[in-house]
Amino acid sequence: MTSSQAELMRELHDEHAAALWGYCVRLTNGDRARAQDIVQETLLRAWRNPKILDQAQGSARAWLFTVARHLVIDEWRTRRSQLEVITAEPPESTPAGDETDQLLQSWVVADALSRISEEHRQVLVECFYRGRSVAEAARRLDIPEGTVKSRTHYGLRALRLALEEMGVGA
Amino acid sequence: MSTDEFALHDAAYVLGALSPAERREFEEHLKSCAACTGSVGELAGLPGLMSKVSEEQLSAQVEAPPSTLLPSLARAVRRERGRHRLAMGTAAAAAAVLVAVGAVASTRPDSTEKQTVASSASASSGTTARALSAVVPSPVTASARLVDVAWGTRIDLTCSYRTTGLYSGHGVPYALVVIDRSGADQQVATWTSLPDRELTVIGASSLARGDISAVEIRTMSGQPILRLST
Repeated sequence: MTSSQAELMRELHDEHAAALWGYCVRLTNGDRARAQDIVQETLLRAWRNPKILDQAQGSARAWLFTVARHLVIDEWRTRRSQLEVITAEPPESTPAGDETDQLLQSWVVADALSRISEEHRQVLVECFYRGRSVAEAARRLDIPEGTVKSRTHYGLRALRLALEEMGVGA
Repeated sequence: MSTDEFALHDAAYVLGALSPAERREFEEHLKSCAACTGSVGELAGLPGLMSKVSEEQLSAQVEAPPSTLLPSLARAVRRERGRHRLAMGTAAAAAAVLVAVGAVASTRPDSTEKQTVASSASASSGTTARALSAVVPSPVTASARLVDVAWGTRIDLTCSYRTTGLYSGHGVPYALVVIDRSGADQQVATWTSLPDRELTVIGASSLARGDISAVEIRTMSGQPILRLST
């Protein structure tokens, strides 16, 4: 029991800490001390409910991201209400929910992109994020144009699958 | 080349990577090809989602989580397991308190008989009940009596909770600790406060009464709140 519980936590850490860390650093605007608290609390909650992690890996990741986001929102609300009591200032106009919603989506997509193969990701980065044509991407990656087309064809489908696993329908 | 030379153009098309000439050609083809139209439809939602991520976010160096995270998680796991044990210990102590309270209630009409039974069972002698003095302000008041028994010392603690606006006094766990002559402490009972009720808590220590220098009530974080020096 003792070692298996510790082992479970180690597995959780190895599997998810890196992805959660990046997400939480962004959620907390780079406040790494808070990010660490949030990652830790998120992984502890997962450790307490290991059934959540029996799902497909993508859904487990999506669950962890959602928990982390809720922790940040709760913390933000608490601080805001304390601020209101102390300074009687009107609440900030920025709706934290919407902001973190956007961030959550962007991290889920970034995480999905990190799960597809390097070859697939490369062509998607060239053709979409860098706005290059198939011909330009072929030159830069030193592969035939036909290969760029087939890699975008399979890569985009792999991405769609990864997103579906994380509960995002395209 | 597949039977449909356009079959792999769908993704490049939705990503906007086809040359203008190829795009026109493919769009012309789509008018007469249900399969390609279907696969374009499957992928059409992806650029919208992909645009939520910036290129810099993708190419940013992946930052490794801090090396203090895993050790800190391991500590949290140990702490949490400790808390489970503590919770079980507290439940057991609460059950013991119930039994003790029940025993006191049933023997209260004739408390001398209880004394007789207790002393004949263990041939004990002990201190008279003395009040514990406050170490810090708290809603708890208590008195204790140390009784010599064959296996060490029994501590009969009677404590009550004053409920005020400040202290709800409900469900707060406390521990009874004995301290020996060398300063080492020993937790001998835990229980949870009940507002406006007097509780009898029985602690048991293997220390002889003469080796006990003090008895303390502490919070679960170890803060002493009441103390009795013997």
